Amino acid sequence: MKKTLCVIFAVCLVLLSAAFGLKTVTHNNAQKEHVKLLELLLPDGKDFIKVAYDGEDKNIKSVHKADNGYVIETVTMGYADEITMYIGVDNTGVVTGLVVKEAHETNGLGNKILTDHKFLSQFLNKTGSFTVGAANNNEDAFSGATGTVEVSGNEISVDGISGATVSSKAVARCVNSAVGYVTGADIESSATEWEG
Amino acid sequence: MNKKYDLFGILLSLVVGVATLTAMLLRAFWPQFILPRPDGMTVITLIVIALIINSYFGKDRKRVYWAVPIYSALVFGLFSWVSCLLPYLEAIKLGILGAAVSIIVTLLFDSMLKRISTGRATKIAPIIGGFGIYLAAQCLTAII
Repeated sequence: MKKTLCVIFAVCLVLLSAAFGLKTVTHNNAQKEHVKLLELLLPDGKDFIKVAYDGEDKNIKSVHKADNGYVIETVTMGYADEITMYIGVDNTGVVTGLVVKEAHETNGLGNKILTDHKFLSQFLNKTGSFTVGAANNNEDAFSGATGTVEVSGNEISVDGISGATVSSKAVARCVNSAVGYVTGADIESSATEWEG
Repeated sequence: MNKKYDLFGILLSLVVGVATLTAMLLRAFWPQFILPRPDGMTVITLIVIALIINSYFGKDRKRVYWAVPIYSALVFGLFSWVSCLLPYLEAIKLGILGAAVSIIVTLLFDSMLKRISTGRATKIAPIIGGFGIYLAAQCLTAII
């Protein structure tokens, strides 16, 4: 037992040294990555300022303001765990970029929201209230090549990821919250909450 | 008389130490990398890896079952805290989880190994047993 405890102690020392040694590098790289991400999500956006959010939308975690728009960090409950997203929205409420920063959904299903660019690109360059699947009251709707259905008013229906409806709806909720922050629209849109 | 001590604690420390160091390096140099959550599945995976290695290096040594949860609690709790991957309370929770999971997984692994280690299968029995436990754990966590 003594030898095992010595090994545990030795490994602790190594990890502690590494933690101190990497502290500055970790912080600097995290900052650089963060700024790079914000500039990517909001093209031509510079000098981002973190703005305090005191609204009622629980999905919004932080807001970064630039001259031409905002990048909003949202966190919402997915199927298995929380999903963190960063969404770039310009001053007119159009989604300029979005990324799922962190998700721990089911492998091979919900986790596809991290990489499925076909699904995520449905939100790009659009403004309005996003819903996943067929929208309600779609008498005037048509199904285009991309599967995106635009109905009357500001409601936009997007195709969810097959087998990952809950995760897809969580993404839609995040985007709606971000767009709603900029446009001032009602955030309780037709994206259904997962109550399971 | 030369007492042969159980190597599981040492091997678990090394496996979890390497995993923790890897996570720290990834967080430092590739901050966009999404690290796996320090939950039950991660703990089970690391314990299974340590058990498989222990089966090949140290198979003649008798398992000290009462020490397994103690080593696991120390390894998972301490390492995650000193590496600044988890705050203090979360590290304690992980340590307790590691202790509880380790004794169950170790007992299952050893009993499985006794049954499938026959004839030509003896050489790959630890890998098969470990993989079986990993799959079972995945199913269980998906149900929960």
